[in-house]
Amino acid sequence: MSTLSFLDRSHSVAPPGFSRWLVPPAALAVHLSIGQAYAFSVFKIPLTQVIGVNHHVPGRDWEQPPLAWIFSLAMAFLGISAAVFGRWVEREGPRKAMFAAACCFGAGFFISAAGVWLHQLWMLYLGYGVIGGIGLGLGYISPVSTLIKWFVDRPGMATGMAIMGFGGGAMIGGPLAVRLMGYFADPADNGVAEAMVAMGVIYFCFMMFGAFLVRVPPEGWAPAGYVPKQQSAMITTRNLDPTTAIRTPQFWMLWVVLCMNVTAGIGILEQASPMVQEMFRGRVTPAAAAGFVGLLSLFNMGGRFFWSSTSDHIGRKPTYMIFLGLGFVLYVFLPNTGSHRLNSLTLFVLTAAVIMSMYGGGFATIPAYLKDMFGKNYVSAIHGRLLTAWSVAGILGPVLVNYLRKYQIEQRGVPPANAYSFVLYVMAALLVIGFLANLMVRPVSDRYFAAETGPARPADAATGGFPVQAAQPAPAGQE
Amino acid sequence: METKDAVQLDYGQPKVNNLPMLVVSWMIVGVPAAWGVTQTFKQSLNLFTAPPATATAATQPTSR
Repeated sequence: MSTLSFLDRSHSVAPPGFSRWLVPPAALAVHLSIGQAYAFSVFKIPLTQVIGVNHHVPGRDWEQPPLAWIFSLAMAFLGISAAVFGRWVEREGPRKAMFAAACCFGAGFFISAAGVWLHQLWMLYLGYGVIGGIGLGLGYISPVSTLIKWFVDRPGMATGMAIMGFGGGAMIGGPLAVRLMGYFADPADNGVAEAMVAMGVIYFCFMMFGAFLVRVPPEGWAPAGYVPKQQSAMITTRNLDPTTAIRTPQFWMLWVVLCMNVTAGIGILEQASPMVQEMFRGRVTPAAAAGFVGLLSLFNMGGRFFWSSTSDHIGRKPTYMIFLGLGFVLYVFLPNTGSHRLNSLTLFVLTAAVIMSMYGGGFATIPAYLKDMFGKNYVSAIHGRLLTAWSVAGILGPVLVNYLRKYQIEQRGVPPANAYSFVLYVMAALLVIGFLANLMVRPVSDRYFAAETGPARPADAATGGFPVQAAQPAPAGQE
Repeated sequence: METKDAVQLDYGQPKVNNLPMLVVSWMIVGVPAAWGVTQTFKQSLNLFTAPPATATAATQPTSR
């Protein structure tokens, strides 16, 4: 496969004079693309009107519940593929991983479009759900290690920038899909399949731009004038293999921290629109509630960059102490802003916005936390495994919120507007669990590092620090 | 250490010949991102500009 050799890690080592500031746009190209997943809901209604074109035909058109599985599958395969392919991504390098992500994500759209044309729902499950989901996972972790190696002086900011792109991707994907469907629609077709094909092409090209642009730094590279800070016990200079890393208590403490932070955040995101309308009944229209959701998206995105950059200065553990400690206070305070107490929409919006910024910040700061704990060589692979916490939270958050709210209203007779209080208190309790887990994070014990074979050799540069199969002894006369 | 020092000096710092590439690359990702943020910002303005729900309800035609 020499034609694809340009994808190899060894061919993506930066030439002299390469600016490291070219790497964040490469990462952003991928993350802005795969972030479209969060805007998949814009296809929800059009997919229920494929036969009827502008109305739903019961019995012939797809119903919403089975369509919801497409997004769920994509999220599940994001977590699974990030965990399973993390080592491969680390070994093969970011360019090959981005290329694979672009192929999967693009193919996911094409197969889904074919599924719409043929009206075969399983093709959407396979296309966007499974293959597209694998593209999401590969794309999500592909630039993480590379960014941390280039920005060893500001790892939080660098990974925050990329992961901010994932938050921003929905802001592009949503309006883009709406415009494309409008462009391709005609009296016989609602344009959803054509829009999917167009999006497949656009996102494939955009992600390939990232794949061509990305470069890995040469072994031993450091920014000019870079002087490592006075070493903190919480920042290791050694590297732990992903297999060993998941055996450490630190990995599982961080898993709990991420899971609790995301579960609580999803609790707000999931209910944002009905929550603001019911807590301020008569004051907030559905259009204004949609504006509230948009505002939360902006804070979710901005928080990713702000908090991860802040963590470079104040440290990862204190940053998560703020997320989980301040988060607890704000979650408890939020129900009091409603019309039955303080009756302040401004306070409600501000509180929810800060909560959302910390939700995004939790995602964006975790790769740098992993780098501090386990070293910079295998961050993508370890991060991939940690993302299973996201998958669990993705199920736990909505289930908890919906079940608890229903229980409050139906079993205890609580008015709908007040039923959010209990839900938010439960979310606050989850943050306490996360706070305690973060409190227990200590430097990784030397015995785990002792089990490692030693520091990465310069010869491992081309393999990302992974040991390669022992070379065969050269035949006599060729040594 | 001489080799490592050379590596530190040669890589990673923006050079004049990198500038067009830097500008173009950041624009390729920056323009769509800015467009998306603008769309969302416009949508979020509804929170502050939409009339209260009661006023909206009063103007809605009643269905019988």
